[in-house]
Amino acid sequence: MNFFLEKKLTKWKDAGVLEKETLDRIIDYEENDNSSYVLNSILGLGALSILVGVISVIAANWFVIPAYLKLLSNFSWLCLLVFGVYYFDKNKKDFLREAALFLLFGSILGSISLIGQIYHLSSHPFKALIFWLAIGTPLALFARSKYLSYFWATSIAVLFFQLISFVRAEFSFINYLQYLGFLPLLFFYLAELFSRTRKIDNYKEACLSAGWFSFAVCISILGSIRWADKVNDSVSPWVSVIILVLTIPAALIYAKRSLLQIGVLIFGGMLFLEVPQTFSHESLKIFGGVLFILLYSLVAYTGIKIKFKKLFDYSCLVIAIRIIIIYFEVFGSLLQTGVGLIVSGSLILGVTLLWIKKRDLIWNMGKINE
Amino acid sequence: MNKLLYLSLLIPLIGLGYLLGESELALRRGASYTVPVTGFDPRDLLKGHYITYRFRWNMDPEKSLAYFREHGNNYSRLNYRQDDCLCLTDTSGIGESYPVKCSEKNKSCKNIVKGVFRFLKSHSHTKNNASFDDLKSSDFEFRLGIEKYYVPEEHATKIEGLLREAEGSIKFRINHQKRAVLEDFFLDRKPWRSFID
Repeated sequence: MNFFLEKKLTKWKDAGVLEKETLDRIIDYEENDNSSYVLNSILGLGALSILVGVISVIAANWFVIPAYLKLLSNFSWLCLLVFGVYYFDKNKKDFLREAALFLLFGSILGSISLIGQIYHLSSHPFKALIFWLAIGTPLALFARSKYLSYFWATSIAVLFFQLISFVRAEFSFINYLQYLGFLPLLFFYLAELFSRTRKIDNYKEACLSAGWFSFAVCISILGSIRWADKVNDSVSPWVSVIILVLTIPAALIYAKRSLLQIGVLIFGGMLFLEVPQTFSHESLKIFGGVLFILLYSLVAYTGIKIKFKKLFDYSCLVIAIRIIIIYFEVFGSLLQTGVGLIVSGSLILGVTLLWIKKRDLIWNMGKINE
Repeated sequence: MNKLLYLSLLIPLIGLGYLLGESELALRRGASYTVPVTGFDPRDLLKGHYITYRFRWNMDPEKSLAYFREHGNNYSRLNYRQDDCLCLTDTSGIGESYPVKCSEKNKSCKNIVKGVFRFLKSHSHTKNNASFDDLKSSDFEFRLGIEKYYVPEEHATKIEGLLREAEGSIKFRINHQKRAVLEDFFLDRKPWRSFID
């Protein structure tokens, strides 16, 4: 049984929150639980090692072995994996089925690489990736563990970047970033698609995690850079307008289904990210900094509303860091920055101490307003 | 539910089989050409496990410049167009060639092959001020998209050295979509494998 969970349970029992009988039932259940993430992790590591090894061997370009033999071996390997998935599925061996599915999904990409190498097929990586995902996704969706679902979501992100590179080859890196706002939206809509059936909940979770992660990175880093940078007429505003229009349905879905604040947060975050790209302006870093703090205050408030304390704490930390960054942006000389930091650092310490003492009060005040 | 799983297991096999079949058929059909090649960058022929090169077309300079003046809007856009082809006037690959539009029917062309024009050195022209008046035939190249040849890791350096000393050439076929399909790589008109022990 998990040491920390046991400690927590004992603490609750001692506090009179949990009865001994319930505690014993929980301990009994945990100890008899057959799922083992250690075994899963080892299997996953073994499968990944095999996969990387297979791809490395292909990449080394076996000169000695004739092309037809390489292809025959490869297809035999694929057929073996296909049979493995079928056999383990029939015999209800879930761990092995998952490992075989993971291996098969990765081996498809290895096979595409092998065929490309043998026939010297030169094309943009996007074409190879989209072909891989097109023929591999139907079987990947049958995976029930989170490993393949997260791997698949990562592949979608890579495909997205390759798509931009394929479509707009002449763009500079800065312009490439203009399309980044589409990424969280892609994951939000994929999560929505996967939520239609319970059997692929793991994919819904993977896409939601990827969506929120890319959203947070885009808003926090890219959004701040855009407000701080000068924008001239050469940047096309239409991409940003399209992103904002596509954000509206996602925001409405979350506002209706989960919480109004989440919908407002999604739309507000995208506005923060895309508005600076829609008009020409000089650097607006202070204004951008203030907007950033307001946005993360909304995140903190959302954390209170959904009873997610870690989100609340994380938001407060990000706000504190952003305030310090504003000082670096505003003050010119090292002396001024130093004095400013001492003053603000003292303020932050004071506020933190106050916050620690009054945190529960603030938390409860937020809950009272529900 | 299991039937769907079993069906989805067949999709990759069918898809990969199709890719393999199409690649193999492309090597057996279409007109075959052998064109001399030279190192793209003498200092860096080898990129990872493949060699790179550029084709030494026998391009008619006057017809080429006339084509750019007529169809090229500016330098910066020329690199990314999708409708440029090369007219091959003979079946050997070393005869005269010149740019044409892929949709044009030109009786003097034995065959046409799709590709992209690339400029070999940067120019200071802006978008609004593009001009081909000072363009020379050595300033650009026509790329077929097959300018990489995979080689075994342990022989890559030797092959790179041989390409600098010997005359390299690439044999390709033109498929039904007018695209080049790489067939083989030669050094002094012999298969490169014959130079490897």
